[in-house]
Amino acid sequence: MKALAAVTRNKLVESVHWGVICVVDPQGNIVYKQGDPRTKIFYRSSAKPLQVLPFVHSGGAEAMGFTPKEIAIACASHVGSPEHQKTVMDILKRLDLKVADLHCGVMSPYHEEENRRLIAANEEPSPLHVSCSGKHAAMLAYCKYRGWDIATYEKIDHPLQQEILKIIALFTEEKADAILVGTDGCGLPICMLPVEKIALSYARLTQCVHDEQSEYHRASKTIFEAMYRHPDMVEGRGEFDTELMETAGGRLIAKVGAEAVYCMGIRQGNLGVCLKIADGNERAVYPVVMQLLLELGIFGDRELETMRKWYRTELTNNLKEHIGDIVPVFHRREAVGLGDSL
Amino acid sequence: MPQLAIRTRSGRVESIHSGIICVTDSLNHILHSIGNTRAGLFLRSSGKPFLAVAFVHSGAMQKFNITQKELAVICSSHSGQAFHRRTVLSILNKIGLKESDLDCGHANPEDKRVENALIKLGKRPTCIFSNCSGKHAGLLALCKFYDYPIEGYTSPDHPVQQLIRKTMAELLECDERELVIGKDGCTNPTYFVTLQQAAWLYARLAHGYGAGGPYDGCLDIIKKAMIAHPRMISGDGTFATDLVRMTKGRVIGKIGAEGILCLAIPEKKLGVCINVRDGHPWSTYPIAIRVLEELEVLDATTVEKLSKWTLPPLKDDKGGTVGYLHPTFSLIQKRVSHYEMGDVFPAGGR
Repeated sequence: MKALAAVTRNKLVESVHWGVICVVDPQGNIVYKQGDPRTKIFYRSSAKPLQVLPFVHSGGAEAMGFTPKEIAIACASHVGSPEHQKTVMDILKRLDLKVADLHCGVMSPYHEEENRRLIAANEEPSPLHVSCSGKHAAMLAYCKYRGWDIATYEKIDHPLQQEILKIIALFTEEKADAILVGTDGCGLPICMLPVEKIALSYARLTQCVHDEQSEYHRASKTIFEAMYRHPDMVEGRGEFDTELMETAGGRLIAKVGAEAVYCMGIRQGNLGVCLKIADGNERAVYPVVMQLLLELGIFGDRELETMRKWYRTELTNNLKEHIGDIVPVFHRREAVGLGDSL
Repeated sequence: MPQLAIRTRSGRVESIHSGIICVTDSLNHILHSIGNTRAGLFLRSSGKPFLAVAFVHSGAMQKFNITQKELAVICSSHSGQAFHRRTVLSILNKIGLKESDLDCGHANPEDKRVENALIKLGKRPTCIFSNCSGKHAGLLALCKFYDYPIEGYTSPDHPVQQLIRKTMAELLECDERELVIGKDGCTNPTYFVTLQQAAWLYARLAHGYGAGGPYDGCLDIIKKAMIAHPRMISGDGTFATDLVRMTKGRVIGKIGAEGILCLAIPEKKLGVCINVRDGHPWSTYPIAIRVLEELEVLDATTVEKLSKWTLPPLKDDKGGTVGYLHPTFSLIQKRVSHYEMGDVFPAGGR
């Protein structure tokens, strides 16, 4: 594995994050890599745009009145702000469903203000606060559209999950029955795939956006555009996915996954990106993604200026003094050791 | 970098933690190790018991009537519970200073219940809630004892820091000019040492100098305070507190930020330094238990009592267990695993 990012203190390397990066074109040719692209990882929340694809492709999203904003939240790991909750609740209301129909479990929202409000008011978080609630609402909508059972939509043998598995197999050029399926944080099935194949699915999705002949052209375009036009729905104000897509202005879609998975679909060259930090710490993802976009020539000085805090994350102590940084190191010629001066 | 632990999901390896382990005796002999023990680290909070050596050595404890419990909080990374805050305030009271004299900055208390209680009251945490407030109270007491100014007491040039630097150099038997420092989360200097040096310091905490040395008495007083007051050195529901309690004081564990855990094992006269090099905090707990089992410090009953830390389960948002954090090495056999992400890992396969 390759050292991708380092954490410094007083200019000495205090911690190191290793990982894998792979960038492919829609034919599966590797354009850029660090580490072994055949490494298998769980797709986690980075799978969401693919998981929502059958719903949009079937015409279900249109029939159930999904707006671009609602499609964006179906692809989201949102922070659970009041705006996110309302967007998901609006979907449920329109479908005549209840919050309890969401089988995503419960978690405290990442949105700090909302979390503080809940604690102060002695309120328990609800399924609406779960970062995956938008995806679950869209899955329920698809079940309604198809007339499938809504009580078991999270089971792997449910027709919904089987259809998602087939789409992922198609976009990754794998055999559906050969894909290993685990359980995601929200209880849904989640595929384990080689990093290069996950990257391929994003390259394919991005290619379909442009390829009018593709069967998936309309659905891919709808999802791609929904994500970059409503980046605040995909994660939240001030969050990395949101700021990255805002800065890129429609040139790419980006989606984080738990345990430090990150995927992007880039218009230029229809490139698909997948990376994973081996120890699962998301703090290393941001500088690595920024450096990768520089290496690929997608971002330059202008974008770097806007996104500086993510490229070189400043670490401060309890007195707000700058004591170190999280910096990308995979592009450096010399190896980075612990305790090295950086 | 050697693998020390993995995290699984649905029976597959999802994430990997690499790191270094060093076990030394009080004469600085390495007995067991994995990885490069000459690698450097900032001691962070694992340095606290040794910053306290100068304090104990000075006679400030007698002068200000500092209790054993108060000494324990000086060596602590406490979770901000009411009894921690009371104990820190008691030290400040005895030396005639106030909370506002602490220069450790504001930090959320590490105990969630305390943090939530603050939110309910609509309050923000003050300095006393910082896990380092005990250490800072100790530094201030040392300033008062020697009549040093309290202004700037965290600056490396301040006489109290110069004194600590001299003591650290003596403990490590090196020239103090060799010591490299950085700035810790609470702005106090933190020492940059090798893993071997960190383990050696803890061997000295466990056993003094072995052949007799200038700080034997001080180290013994600090060790006894940390063993006698397990709640004071960390807090309810934390690993460091549970470890001292469940082992009945046979092991002292002290965490440091960025994946450091050091152990002092008095009965074996050994010190241990574990460093997970990606900085992951709680993977060091099952790693430490594996080390203690292999060193035959923990029997099966004690491991069972520490089960919460031995094989921590990973939960989904419905509370179901989806995987575990497994240690994957043998220190005695000097064996590490070579898992790739995606590899099959047998459920519960310890």
